[in-house]
Amino acid sequence: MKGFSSFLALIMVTFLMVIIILLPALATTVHIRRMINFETKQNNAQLALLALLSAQENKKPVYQIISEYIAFSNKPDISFLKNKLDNLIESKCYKLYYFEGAQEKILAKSSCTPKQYKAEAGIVLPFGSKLYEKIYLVVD
Amino acid sequence: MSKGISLIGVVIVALLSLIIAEFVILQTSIVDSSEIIRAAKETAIAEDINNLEFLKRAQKYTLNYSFYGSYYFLGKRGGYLNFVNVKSYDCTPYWQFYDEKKYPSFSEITNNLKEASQRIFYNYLDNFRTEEIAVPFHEIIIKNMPSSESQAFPSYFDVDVRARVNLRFESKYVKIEDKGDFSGKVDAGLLNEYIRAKNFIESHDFKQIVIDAIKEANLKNVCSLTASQIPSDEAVFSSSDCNGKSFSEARNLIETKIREKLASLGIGDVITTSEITPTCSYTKSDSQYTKNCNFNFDAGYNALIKIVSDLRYPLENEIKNFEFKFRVLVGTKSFPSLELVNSCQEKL
Repeated sequence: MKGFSSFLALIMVTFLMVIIILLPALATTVHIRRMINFETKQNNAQLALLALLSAQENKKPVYQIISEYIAFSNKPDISFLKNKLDNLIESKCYKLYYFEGAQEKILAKSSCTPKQYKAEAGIVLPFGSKLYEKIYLVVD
Repeated sequence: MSKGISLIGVVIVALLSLIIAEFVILQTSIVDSSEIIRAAKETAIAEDINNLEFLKRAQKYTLNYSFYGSYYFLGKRGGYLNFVNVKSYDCTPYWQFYDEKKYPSFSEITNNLKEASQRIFYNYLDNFRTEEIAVPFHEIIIKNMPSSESQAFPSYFDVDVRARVNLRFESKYVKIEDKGDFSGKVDAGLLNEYIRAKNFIESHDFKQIVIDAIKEANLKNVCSLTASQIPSDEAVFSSSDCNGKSFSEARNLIETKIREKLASLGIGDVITTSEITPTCSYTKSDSQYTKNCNFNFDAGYNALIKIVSDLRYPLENEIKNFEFKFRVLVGTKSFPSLELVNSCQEKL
């Protein structure tokens, strides 16, 4: 009986030790894996934004079209952005926007609302009172 | 005894097994973690490279916008970057102030263009400067800038942009340096418009417009009037034998003629003024006074002249025609009311 209880105590101590040793390592691994996954997706959002800004539409750089859209009172047509982003973003869940004061101005968005991965880029504007604006791409 | 030994044996075996298992797990975990951390660093580096790439992508557009901005800025300021010893009103300089014509020389224009485009370029890139991104000062070199106005003007400027030091991105994990130098072609719009503006002011005698307007108003300048009381100067002028018009009607006529002449040159933003100065004497015979007057007519104007280019650039909030502006003030005499001068606070 005494031998059995010692054996039981041994198993419990061993089990606890295993938990104590393994748990932090597992927790760290899970955390880092999540972080990597986030960073990779975030990076993909950045690459999608970079690819979009490097593209052309009717021989005119998309960069310039977005820049003029932000600056001009008579806005150019940017409906093509949706098609381009549909091709670039696998999840098809995205939102491209900038801020005018505190107000969010949408350049293109999908039917679903993305929340997770956000990339940003500085865009130079035609010479005027404001020379620069940040645009954001959020994807899922 | 053997029961106790067997229990100790079990404990030792269990502990050894545990230590071995722990060693294997920890080893795997450490290797795995270091791999994961390495991957995380790589991802962060890729992100940093992307940030630098965003900046490099912006440079090309910045160069174009800087030149268009410098055309716009210099154009609306008659080619001047600063108004040192230059009279100006609302940041538009006088290229003619009465009989003195003064406008920037060709070399001043080219120097101002280089300076303005460089300053604007710097202002643009300054927005990209962060704790991590170090943006160097760039020098703009226009390779095919004509050295004199007798040379043929290029349609495009071949521009080299040279960074004093490399573009640098420095973050927790990485320090990236890349050359900030690049080349580009930019529409060379300013020079032709400067020559058009210069030819415009040189090919027109703006003072003669005033002289001609007074002449065309066809007003008598020697008149007399007899009356039982001493007639006023205006009564002499407006008598049916003389001009049949009041002073203000006559002045209006002269100023309208000036405006018409300027409108035919495409100049609409004009302030005019005029003066009629009588020099009179009178004689008395019986109970009648005869007054003889000589009328002198003076007029002048202050006009804003805009040389509008066919070239259209994205500027401010639209694509618009680029303009070269300056002011002209002329008169047959000096008119303080036309001498509109103030200091310009606008700077790059």
